[in-house]
Amino acid sequence: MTERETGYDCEKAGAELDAFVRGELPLEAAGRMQAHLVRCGHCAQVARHEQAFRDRLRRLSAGCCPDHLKAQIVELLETATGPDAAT
Amino acid sequence: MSAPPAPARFGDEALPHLDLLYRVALRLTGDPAAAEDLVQDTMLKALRAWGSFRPGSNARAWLVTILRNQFINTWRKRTRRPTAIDLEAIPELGDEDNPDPEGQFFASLVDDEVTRALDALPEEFRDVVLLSDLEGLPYQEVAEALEIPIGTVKSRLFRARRILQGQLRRYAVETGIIRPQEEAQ
Repeated sequence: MTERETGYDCEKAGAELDAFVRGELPLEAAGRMQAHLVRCGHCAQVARHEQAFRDRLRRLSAGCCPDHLKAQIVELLETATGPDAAT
Repeated sequence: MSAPPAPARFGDEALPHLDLLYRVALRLTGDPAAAEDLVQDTMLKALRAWGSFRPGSNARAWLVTILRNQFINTWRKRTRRPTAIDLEAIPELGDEDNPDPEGQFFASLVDDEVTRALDALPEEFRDVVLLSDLEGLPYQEVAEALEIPIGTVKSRLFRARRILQGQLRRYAVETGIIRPQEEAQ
């Protein structure tokens, strides 16, 4: 079916774009979006913009819980509930 | 009615999320020592509340809820954060004057600047960006963690992202990372 037949347009694509960039669109809807992005340069540009922004934000999330804190918490759980709770 | 979770399961459910809890705590408090204390307090609180955890539900969102409530109730008073910007006072930038419509400049921004813009958001907006964009939690989990409807998550995300993008684009133009449209041509 063509987009004209399904009524899928830039407005509908725009409403789903955030979910698409996050990988949260169901398979069928994601396929419909991908087909739209191939045809629509404007929406494709917006999608690339949103993806670039999300990629940048995700880079801020680096870092792990320090090992000494993990060890303290495991010890704390063992003290509170016995060794099995922290395994 | 389902049986309460076995105490021995707590570690299995909670320990895999320590990295995420620590990152969120660090972002909320802005201080590594305070973040460590907040994570410890969260784990103790979660352990005590373990009987109310519904087996099969989302432990990650449950733990983030506890951490955030713990932060709001106990820690926020002790930590200083920059004053949040007034969202209404900030005009959104239109796309017509955008010299970098694909957002390639985002990759060139330093962490400090992105962090500053994020921290300046009002808390309810910053928290959805933190969980959704930085930590990659799906809408549903963000809604559970923040105890708000999924529609509110989406609308706050949309607004917060527009504001952040505008702030960062302004910064990029001011610092010459991107050139205004008329100079770029």
